[in-house]
Amino acid sequence: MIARGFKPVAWVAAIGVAALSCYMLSLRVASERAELANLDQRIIAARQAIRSLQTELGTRGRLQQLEQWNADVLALSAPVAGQFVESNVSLARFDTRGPDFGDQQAEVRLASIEAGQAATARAASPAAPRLVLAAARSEQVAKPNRVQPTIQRASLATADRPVAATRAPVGRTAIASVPAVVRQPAAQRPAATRPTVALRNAAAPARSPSLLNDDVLRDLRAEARAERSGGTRN
Amino acid sequence: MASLAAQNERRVLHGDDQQGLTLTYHRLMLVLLLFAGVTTLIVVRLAYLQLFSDHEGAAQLANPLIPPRADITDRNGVALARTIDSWSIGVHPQRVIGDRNLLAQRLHELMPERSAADYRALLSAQTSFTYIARRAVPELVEAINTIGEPGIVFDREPDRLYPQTALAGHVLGWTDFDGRGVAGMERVLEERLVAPALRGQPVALSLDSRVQAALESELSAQVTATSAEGGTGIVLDVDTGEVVAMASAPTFNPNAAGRSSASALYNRATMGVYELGSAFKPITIAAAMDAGVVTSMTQRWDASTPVAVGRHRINDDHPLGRHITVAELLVHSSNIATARIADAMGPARMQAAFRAVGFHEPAHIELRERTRPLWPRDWGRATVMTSGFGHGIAVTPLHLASAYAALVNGGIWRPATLMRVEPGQAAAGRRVYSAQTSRRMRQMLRLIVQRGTGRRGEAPGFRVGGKTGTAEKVSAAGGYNRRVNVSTFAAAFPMDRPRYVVLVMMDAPRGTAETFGLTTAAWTAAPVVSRVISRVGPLLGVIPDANRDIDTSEVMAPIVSSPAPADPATAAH
Repeated sequence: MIARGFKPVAWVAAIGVAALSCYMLSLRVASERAELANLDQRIIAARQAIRSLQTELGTRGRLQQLEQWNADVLALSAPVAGQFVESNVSLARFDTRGPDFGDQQAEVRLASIEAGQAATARAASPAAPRLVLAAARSEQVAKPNRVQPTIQRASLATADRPVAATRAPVGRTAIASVPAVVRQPAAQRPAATRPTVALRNAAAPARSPSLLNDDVLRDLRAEARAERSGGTRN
Repeated sequence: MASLAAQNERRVLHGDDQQGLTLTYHRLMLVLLLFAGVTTLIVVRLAYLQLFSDHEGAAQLANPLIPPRADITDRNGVALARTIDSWSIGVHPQRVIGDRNLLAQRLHELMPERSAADYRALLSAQTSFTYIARRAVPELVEAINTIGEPGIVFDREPDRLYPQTALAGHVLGWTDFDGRGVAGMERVLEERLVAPALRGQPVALSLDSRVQAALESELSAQVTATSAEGGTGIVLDVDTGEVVAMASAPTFNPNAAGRSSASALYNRATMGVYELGSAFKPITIAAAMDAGVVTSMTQRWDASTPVAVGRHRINDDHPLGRHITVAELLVHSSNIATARIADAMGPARMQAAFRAVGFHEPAHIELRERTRPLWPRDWGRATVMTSGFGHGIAVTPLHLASAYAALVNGGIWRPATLMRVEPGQAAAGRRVYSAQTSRRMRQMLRLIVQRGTGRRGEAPGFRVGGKTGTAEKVSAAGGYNRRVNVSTFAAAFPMDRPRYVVLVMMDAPRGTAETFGLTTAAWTAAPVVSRVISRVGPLLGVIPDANRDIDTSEVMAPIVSSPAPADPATAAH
């Protein structure tokens, strides 16, 4: 009986709650919309700012201004034919560095590995041609180096020997023995006089591939492609 | 119970009361309708606002990003013309309440370009509104605002800005006070730039701003160095007809076009018609090869004695005194031999040759600032002969550039265009030379740069080929002035697969110590071409290569025994 009496009240309350929640929902939507519109406006303002800043930057950095700066300060000039590298071979021509002390260390390690492999696999015959070849090529490589300042080479030679004498015993004894073995049949030279030279030269050709390995070439190609695609034709 | 009582009361009502009740009902109904009407009105209004106001707001939000006039960019998207909002400062003279003299003095201190008296006159003018300054910087606006004069008002107005200032001013043109294009591409593209549907999209021209900047700087440096009246330069894509750069010196700043002199506003590349001299010879030779007049590279033409025709006498500056091949003709730039070939061609075929490359009509380009060439009225024997080496017929430098593009690109002539051409969308053009003739011309043009008058146009590694042309300018009194020249060098590179024509023309250069007082094309125009090619070649994707070149031995073989001229300057024309 009491429940029936309260029925309209419950109805009113239910409808009130429903209406209120609907209103809240709509209010929520409206506020979201207002926020969105506000954001849109801010985006537009930002775009306008970007545009005006781009214009300002473009005007301040206009080509005539750059040209003037170049004339006054930078003094850059257009690249000439010799500065473009056509192929791997022409790129390798630029590798005219004289070997320095850092290279020496790295080469020693490399050669010792090869010597180790050669020693474990077979004593003389397979290792021999490889190292002979390396030695023979090293002569060719060494020739262009003669253009380099001779002082540098002289200092290297002097720096080399004490190092070899003092701190080589672990790795070097093994290495020094390899050229000694190899050279006797191949070149008939007194190996004992120039073991370090032979070693240094033996590793020299190995440096060329590292200079021009696939990663380097791939990077160069990717850069060239990027430059070309960003160039004038599109 | 209550209802019963009411019924009882209603029953006892009299006639007057009955009437009053009806009236009340009517009034109540009226009030009800009024309320209902107002409510409906409010609901309808709300629904209307809900439905339509949102879209209106969105449209207003999108608008600010679309400029009132579309941007113009170069082929790579670098802005060449933009519309920005700039501050303008105006005054309502009737509403000024401060002391006008003091105000004028303050304005003069802030903006010294006008005198205090001028500002005084502006402030007491009888108009309702006048501008004090347009395109004012914010600092100036702030400073004037602090004066606190209510008669002075500030507003943001759209204004056309050319961020690269004088760059490509002749191509871009400028807009008037109301923002309408009145010259250059601004005028040509007027409809497109203000079309509501399209103005959000920038218009891309064929120009490359980097190439344009290099060409302009080299050209103006040479114009200054040689104290020339002016000069012009064109870089043209031979395969599409796109104008990659077009410069005319002296230049002007389109941001303030009104302050420039008439000479600066004059676009020499399309408005100036000149007798371009020996640069015409390759056109004559190519036409003669296609016509069968020149049959082989070994055929020899008499250049031993001057040709007399009517009262004219055609001579070479440095006579060779023997019979020469066409390759020698071009290398030494012999007028005599060219005149003989033109004579053998005859008036009909010579006219056809020039018509084929459009020398009889205004240059094909979008710009409206262009002039009709001076086409000879009477094609007598003398005209035919002199036209063969570029005298008696005057065309614009752009005509010549288009013709050279056809000479080297395999023989297809295409109209020049300033709009960017998408790959594969180039105009079909028309064949004017055979592919074989074009190949021979490439070899001979390269030979001119290797061994002839064009040696100063060489850019190492770029395989440049081209032809010099030094014509005497017609003086104001009529007749030619030997000392005043129009010096042209028309070149293309790289000659093994030509991609761009570069043409430079110097108008009345004067000799300097560096040129040993000479004003010929070899000393004035060719070095500019060389420098421009060295600078822009890598930008345009042409990599210099000293180990590559076109094989010129086929055309050189017949002349290999003859000595090359000792100095390019000696072969003047």
